[in-house]
This record gives sequence, structure tokens and C-alpha cells, in this order.
Amino acid sequence: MNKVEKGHVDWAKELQDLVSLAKTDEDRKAAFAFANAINPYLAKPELLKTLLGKIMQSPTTALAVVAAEREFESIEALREKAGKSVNVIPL
Amino acid sequence: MSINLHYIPAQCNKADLGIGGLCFEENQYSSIDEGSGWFALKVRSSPGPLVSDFVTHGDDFEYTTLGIHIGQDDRLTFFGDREQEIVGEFIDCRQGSPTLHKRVVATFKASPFRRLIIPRGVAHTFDNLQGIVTRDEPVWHSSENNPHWNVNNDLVSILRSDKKLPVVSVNEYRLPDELHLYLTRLSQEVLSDPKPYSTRFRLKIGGEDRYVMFQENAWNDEGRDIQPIIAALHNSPIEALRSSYAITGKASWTLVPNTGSAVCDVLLLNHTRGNGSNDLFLHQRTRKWYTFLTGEGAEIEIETLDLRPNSSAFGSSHIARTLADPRVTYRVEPGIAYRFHTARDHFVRTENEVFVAENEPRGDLPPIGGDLAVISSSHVPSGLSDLPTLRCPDRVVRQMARFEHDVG
Repeated sequence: MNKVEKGHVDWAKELQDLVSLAKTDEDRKAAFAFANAINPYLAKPELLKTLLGKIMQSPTTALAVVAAEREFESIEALREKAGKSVNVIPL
Repeated sequence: MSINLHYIPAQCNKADLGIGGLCFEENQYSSIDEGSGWFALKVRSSPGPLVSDFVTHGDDFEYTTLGIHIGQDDRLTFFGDREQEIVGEFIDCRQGSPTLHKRVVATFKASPFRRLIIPRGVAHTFDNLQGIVTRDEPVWHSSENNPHWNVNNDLVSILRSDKKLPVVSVNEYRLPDELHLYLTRLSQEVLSDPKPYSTRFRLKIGGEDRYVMFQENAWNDEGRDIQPIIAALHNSPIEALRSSYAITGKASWTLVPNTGSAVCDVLLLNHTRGNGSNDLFLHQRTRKWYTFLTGEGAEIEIETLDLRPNSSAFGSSHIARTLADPRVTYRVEPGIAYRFHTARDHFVRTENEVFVAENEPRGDLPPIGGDLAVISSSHVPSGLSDLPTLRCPDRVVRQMARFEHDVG
């Protein structure tokens, strides 16, 4: 089966190869910028949450929190407001 | 603020919506002759990176936010009931845009013949998408120092009720096609177990503007249990597999490609075609992957005839009864003749893997690109030639798709 299987791909090496194959100046800039952005995640791809970034049905609890206020003293304070049903991930 | 209203008639495949780059474009499609089987329409991938994903929308689906992509242009085709009216709302949030914060509302019907282009930086949301499946053919961009971009979640969400609209800078470098494929394959790995997506908002934390993601813990793989659907094919030579998908709402999913090439087409399965005939499809060079995108929950019947020369079940027929569900993909090996019986039309994703033999050219096999035979289940062929076993590299399949574009 050709489906991608976990643990069989050296993502960092493959990315390095793809960056080196960039042919034009714009491709090189795009590839370098992309590599810089994604490299920190490649050791643990499971940390990637939403690669494709779709607009989606938002968690109701998160919406209620954001609708009520936009300023929080700390991430911990935000987590407390959000409750346990929502995972809060600072970026 | 004024709102610009547009109504896009069903037969209109090209339309400018008044924000730079926001428009409908015509898809590449072709009708399929009635004599060539029971698929009535083929919608090919659009020119570009040749990656696509599909977003389903359950009965209770509702967008409560607008989303702004920072590095992704969306190219959306809406598959489903062609009488269903969809309302899209768009706000230009691009820094430096001559139409900054212009708001457009467009009403249109689902159609396989056109795609909606939404440039990165344009906030968007939709109403009345229940039961509709959108194909997205994204075009991704990167940037060195864009504070609004996060590769882990390209989308910034804002509430529909927000009065203060954001201004964002968008990514400037278009990724080469090879990196689109890389990102797609990475998505396949990330989604080897279904997981809920997350929503990203900009908030003030400890006095500083920061982006924060929220991921719903309570959503699980909501909807009907797919194990019985997979198990229904237990004795069939066709394999039922879980599609790679993320959970993007209540009983709503985003499907990513199954194959390494990431290339797919969409076919319209016409339930009235071939009624009463015993015809089956047969491929000798192609492993087919089918995913029923629309008509979720409808009953389907999968009829097979095993014609693989080395199969212990050669010549045996089988009928499996199951339900259409986009989370399940059916994989048909070369040499297995098959047919889908349905009581309604379905849009179906089709993906291919192509095989060649060591001793090509093989005059006893159909040509690559013409690998479809329609055979009668009442006249079993006495035996097929040895089937090819070397799978073409994914880049060859992608080149074949590009060639198909070029020749129309």
C-alpha cells in the first residue's frame, strides 16, 4: 500500500532535499521560508494540529470565552475560563 | 458599512465578486457517454499543485466564525444538491488592499462546474452548507517574517459578530508544487488517527497580542460507527479502508488524499445508468480508490467478480451491502471487476495508482490512459493475462494528470 505509514519517512531529510531542488529564486525563497517554519515540528509531527487550516465549526466553549472577553492575565487564566472540554494551545 | 450583494445564476461559471481575486472560475470537466458505464460526469483536478481535500458538512453544521487564511488561497467546488442555495460572506482584510474591509455577500447554488477562488487575506464564511461537500484545491504560500502566519494552523478566526475587523499581511512566496505534495503527505501522517482541528484567535495575553489555538476535546469521531461499514466488505475482494481525515465539526470531516500522488478526480455516479444490465468495470493496470463524498448514509451495493489470474477465488462473484460514508474508501485491485448499485446519485472521489509490467510494451494489456473495460458478469472471460505488478512512481501519476489537463 502506498498510503503514508507512520515512522517510515525522514521528513527533515526529505524537506532538505526538496529545498535543494528549488529551481528559481522565488521557489528558493518559498522553500527556505517554509522549511524554517516547519522544521521545528518535524521531530514530532504529532504536534502539528491543523496543517491544512480549514475554517471549521468552532468549539462552543471557546466561542463563548472569546465572545465574552479578549484580554487575559495569562494563559493559565484563559485555560481556567475555557474549562476542560477545550485544549488551549498558545502559539 | 455597506454590503455588496451578488447572485450567481446556476449556469454562470465565471464571475467577479468585487474584491480583488475573489471570483468564480470554470472547472475542467467532461461528460461521460452512457455506453462507457454508469458515471455521467468527470470533474478533473484544476491546474496547479494538483492536491485537493474535501470537507463534509453534517446536518447540524454551522459556521460561527469567519476564517482568514494567511498563506493559503482557497479554490472551492461545492458538490451536492444543485438546488441548494449557499450564502457566502467575504471581507477583504489584506493590508494595503484597495478594497480593504469591503464586504461582499454572494448567493449561489452548488455546482460541479465552477470553483470559488478566495485569495488569502479575505475573511470568509458560509451558510446553508448542510449536506454539501466542498473540494478545496489550495495554493500555499510561505513567508519569512509574517507574525500572522503559523504553519501549524494557517487560519485566523474572527467572530461573525466582531465589529472591529483585522488587517493582516499575507504570505508572499508561492510554494513549489513539490512542497504542496510534501505538505499533503505530512497531513496524511498527522491524520493517520482522526483528530479534531483547532481554531486560532488573536487575544491579548498578559498585555501582549498573541495567537492562541482552541481544540475541542469533547468532539470525537461523531456520527455513525464506521466499523460495520468496513466490516460489510469483509468477504469481498474489494477492501474497505478508513479514509485519512480530520474532524472539522459535529459529524463533519476534512478528507485528505489516500495515495502518495495526491491526485484525484470527482465522478458523478448516476444511479439510473445501466439499470438492468450485467455490466461491470474492469481495470488491469490501475488500482482504484473510491470514496463516496455525497449522499452519506444512503445504501450502496458493491458487486464484484474476481478475475485476477492467480486468485484462489478466480471467477467468483460477490455482493456486499453497506452505507455511503466519506470516512470509508474502497480500494479495487487490478483484475477485480466491479459495480456500484445505488438508489440515488453520488459524487465520488476517485484516486488511481498505475501499474506497468517488466516486459512492456504489452499488447495484451490495455494502454495506459485507456485502462477501462466494460464486461458482462454473465460472460466471465476465460482468463486475463498476467497483470502488471510494478507501481508507477507518484510523480509519473502526477505527470499523467498534467498531460490530461493539457489535452483537455
